[in-house]
Amino acid sequence: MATLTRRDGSPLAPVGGRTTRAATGRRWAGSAARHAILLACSAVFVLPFVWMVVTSLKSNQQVLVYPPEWIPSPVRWRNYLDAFEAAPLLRYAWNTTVICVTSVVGVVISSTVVAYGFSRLEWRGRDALFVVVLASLMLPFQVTLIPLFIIFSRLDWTNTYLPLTVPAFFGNAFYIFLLRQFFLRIPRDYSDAARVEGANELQILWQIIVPLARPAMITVALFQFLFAWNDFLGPLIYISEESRFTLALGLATMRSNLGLSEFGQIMAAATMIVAPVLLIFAVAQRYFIEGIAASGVKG
Amino acid sequence: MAIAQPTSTFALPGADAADRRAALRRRELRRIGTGLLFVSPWLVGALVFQVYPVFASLYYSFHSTTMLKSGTFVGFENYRLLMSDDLFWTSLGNTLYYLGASVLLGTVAALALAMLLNQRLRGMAVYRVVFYVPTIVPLVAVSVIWVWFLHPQYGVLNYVLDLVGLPSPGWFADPAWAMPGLVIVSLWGLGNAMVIYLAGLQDIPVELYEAAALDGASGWERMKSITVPLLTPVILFNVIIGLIHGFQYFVPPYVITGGGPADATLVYSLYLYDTAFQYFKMGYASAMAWVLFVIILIVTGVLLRTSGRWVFYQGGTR
Amino acid sequence: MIGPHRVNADPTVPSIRSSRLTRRRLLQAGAGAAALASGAASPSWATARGVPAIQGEPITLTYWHGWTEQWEEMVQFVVDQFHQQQSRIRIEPVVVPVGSQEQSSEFLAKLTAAIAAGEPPDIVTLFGSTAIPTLASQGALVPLDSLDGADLPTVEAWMDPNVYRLGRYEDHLYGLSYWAGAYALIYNKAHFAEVGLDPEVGPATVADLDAFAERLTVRSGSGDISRMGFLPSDLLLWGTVFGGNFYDPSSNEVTANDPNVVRALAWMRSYAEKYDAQKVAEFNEGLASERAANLDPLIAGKFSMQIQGPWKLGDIKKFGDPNFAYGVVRPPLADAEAQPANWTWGDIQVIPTGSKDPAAALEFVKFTAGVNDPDGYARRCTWGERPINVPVSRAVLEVPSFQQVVASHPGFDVFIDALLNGERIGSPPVMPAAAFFTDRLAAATDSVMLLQAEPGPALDDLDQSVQSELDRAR
Repeated sequence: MATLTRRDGSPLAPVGGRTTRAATGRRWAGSAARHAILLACSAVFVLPFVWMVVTSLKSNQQVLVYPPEWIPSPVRWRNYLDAFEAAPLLRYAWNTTVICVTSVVGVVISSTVVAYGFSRLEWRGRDALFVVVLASLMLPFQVTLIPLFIIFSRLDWTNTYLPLTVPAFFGNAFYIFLLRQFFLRIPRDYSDAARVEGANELQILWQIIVPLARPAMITVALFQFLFAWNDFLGPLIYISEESRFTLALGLATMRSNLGLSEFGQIMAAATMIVAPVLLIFAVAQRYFIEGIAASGVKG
Repeated sequence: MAIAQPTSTFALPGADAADRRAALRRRELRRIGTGLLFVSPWLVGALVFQVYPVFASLYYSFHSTTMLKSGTFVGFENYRLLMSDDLFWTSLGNTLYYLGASVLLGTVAALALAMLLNQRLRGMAVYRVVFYVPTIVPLVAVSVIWVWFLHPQYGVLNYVLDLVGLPSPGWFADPAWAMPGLVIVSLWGLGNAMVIYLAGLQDIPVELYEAAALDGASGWERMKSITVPLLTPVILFNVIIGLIHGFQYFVPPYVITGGGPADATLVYSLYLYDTAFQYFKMGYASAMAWVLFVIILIVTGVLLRTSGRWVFYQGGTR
Repeated sequence: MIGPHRVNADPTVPSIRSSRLTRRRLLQAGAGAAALASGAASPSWATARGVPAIQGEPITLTYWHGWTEQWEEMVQFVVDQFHQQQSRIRIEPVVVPVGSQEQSSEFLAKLTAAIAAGEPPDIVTLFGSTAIPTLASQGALVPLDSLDGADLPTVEAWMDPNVYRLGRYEDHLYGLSYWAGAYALIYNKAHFAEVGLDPEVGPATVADLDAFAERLTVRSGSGDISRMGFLPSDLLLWGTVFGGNFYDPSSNEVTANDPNVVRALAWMRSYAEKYDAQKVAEFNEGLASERAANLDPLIAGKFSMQIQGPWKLGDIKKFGDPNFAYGVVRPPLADAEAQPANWTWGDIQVIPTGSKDPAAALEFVKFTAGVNDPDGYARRCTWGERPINVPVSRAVLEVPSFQQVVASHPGFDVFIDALLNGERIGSPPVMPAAAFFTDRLAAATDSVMLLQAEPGPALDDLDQSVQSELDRAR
């Protein structure tokens, strides 16, 4: 039986003492009401997406019609072509993909190795150092923004993807944390057995831990992919040439260059940025949900 | 909980105590070495990309550094000027406004949705996806979508408000409504917190509810006495994450309003960004960064300190 | 901070190559110097133009500009012409988008970063002269007068003094404008006829403007504005028209609360009061953007009168109904006795410190400003056939091809007269805190037009904060 105590030790308020009659009818009504509320909320959450897609298919004239019309007519696929004309979106997509893939590779390899050091190896100072890893998550970006900018410009790295990718190769505190949580759950005997057989730590990591930790590593890869795909401040500060822009930067620029009547094109571009994200999520949603849930509860 | 590893040095019979101690120390050193080797990518990265920058920005904050000049030592001048800078206070006020509203409403809404979902409910997975998906959409796209959704004249929300006979605000065109608009945008991204609450709720032992039901507690009483208290650690976690994110809030105001109208949405990060990258005052911006850092530390510190009064920890079940 | 070794604090002695003298650069520098030496021996720039005295090693210069889409093609048009004229210098244009709405440009941040990193572009077009003092005061720009072959007297004689001035800061010249903007009021003749105004007579004074605007504005039953007679928005222009100044360079004093500027802002605010700030904001929010061809607010009849630049005439011809009848008059005067005034920004070519061959860059800069080449320049500044901005030199007015563009775009002459006739021309204050000034001015105007602040106090605040910013920058 669970005991409830406050942190300061005082007992929790006792639960009331009336008896209830469990009525199945009422339970059914409750569940219907629940569905009604949830459906309404879902509609609110989905509507902006719908509005985005609908707008992306409207002509300039129809965009500026009130009350809003939910069926584009005529359906104007040309907005997508116009969006490509207003900005080199394919170029941006390619650039963004290059950054995403590079940083995913970097972050997964480095974070896995580091997480191994923080979980499967026993050494003095390990846990103290790990507290520092967690603490570093609290550091606001503003504090490092300027010195990093100065370092990267001294290195002549502005207008390249290096400031956006190189740091990924040094691990990421959040991912290290996620992977460590996962590694700790792998029974110790596995590695001990391998050690007895003379395997070194890298071999153990590669041959035993990595195959078992694949789900966690996929979660990390997905998170990083999304992070890089969504990142705005980094490209904003470091990338100057239009031909090296990322999608996020390109969309923001489009929004400031184009006006109200071109919202069809802007929404077409937004749809093209959002679609791959939704696609990835559709394929791999359990990794997301589990990753997020793990970050909160076990923290 | 260190568990000795079966290695040959440990079991050598006949070696004297001093030798054994030396061997132990060597082994210990080797272990530390291996450990450090494995964590070295992070260690190096943290030194270069975090530790050095933290001290460098502290250093710059005492100098009149600009993007083009290293400037001179000015002591506390940047901090002094900051205190008399109206925009600093405006932006801090805007940030606190945003923070208060988005964290409070976000917590209540995410918690409510999580509780609604935390039942053996048909379609629960689908709902969860619907609420979660907006959080993975690129923030620039989110911003652009909402500029349009909340457009004063052609936006969907004002249309709906019009239908039900409510006045339709100017949202991002109106200084009084621009910040509420941004808060609404932030609420669209509550899925992250909701999923964490949901996981927390599912960790609450069913026996507790059963026991309460036996005692005849109503649904409301069960929520008040079991669910919320047991969820307080998760709430604390989410609130802290929300605060840290809120203090770093940048992309939506940058893309949607650019800080306007009339500075109504000029949040701290935006002003800091302008200071550094539009007015090139790196030293001054570094001082701003450090003031923010200290504020964050104080706020989280106070929150953690006082959390003992309202955060409950579950004993015995784990 | 970043690389003070590259950026010389004293702008008179730019240490352009001091930091990284590679063999290749040394060769280039030698060739450039030789070319310049012989160029200087020639009687004028004009004779040396296009025929480099010594065929030096071909050099490629990177050229940053913020023109996108159709304007990117225009830049290519100009660059192609330059390549046709000489073969030693290749120009490689790079688009660096200017960026967002309310804030000053991202472009400048990128440029400054590149200069600080020691890898700047070789030539840059700045939209407006606002940033020149900020950059120049930190040694980020090469003073053109420090370069051999600058031949400033010739340049000065070629350019209109108000336009020439845009490139100056303290005692140096840092850039030459491509062309220069000017404002005029374009009005819809059909609307005038409709409300009983004489379509041939535009508003001459602000009082006329107010009266006309009231008659031209159309409200729907619910009080929403469906057509706006006129709406003032640009305090820089109106402050100048009302006789105000924003800055006094002789005393380094910000004068944003100049009584005339306050008067201008109070007048602007009267529109927000008269037409209901909320309704005006809503009306503004509902406008199509200017690039929306026939949905353009003026062309589509959402405004009866608008302050515009010359480029609008080209748009009207291209997108407007062929029957769209418009009139153009100079910006109305503050009152009948007031001195005419206008405002210009300029699009200015500068050479960043660290440019790999400032002498070669200078050639391109002079080419774009058309120094002593009226025929070629007339073609370039009209992109062959349309009004974009006002040319920098009166000499162009004599060129037949240019006269043709003027004749086929009624009203273009109003813009040209407004800028080149020696009237009072306002331009961005020549002070190092100009980006901050621009941002704060926009915020102050916003809050007054939204009836959140009174003109006087808003401008006092503006004045104070910009002054302290300026004092710090100096």
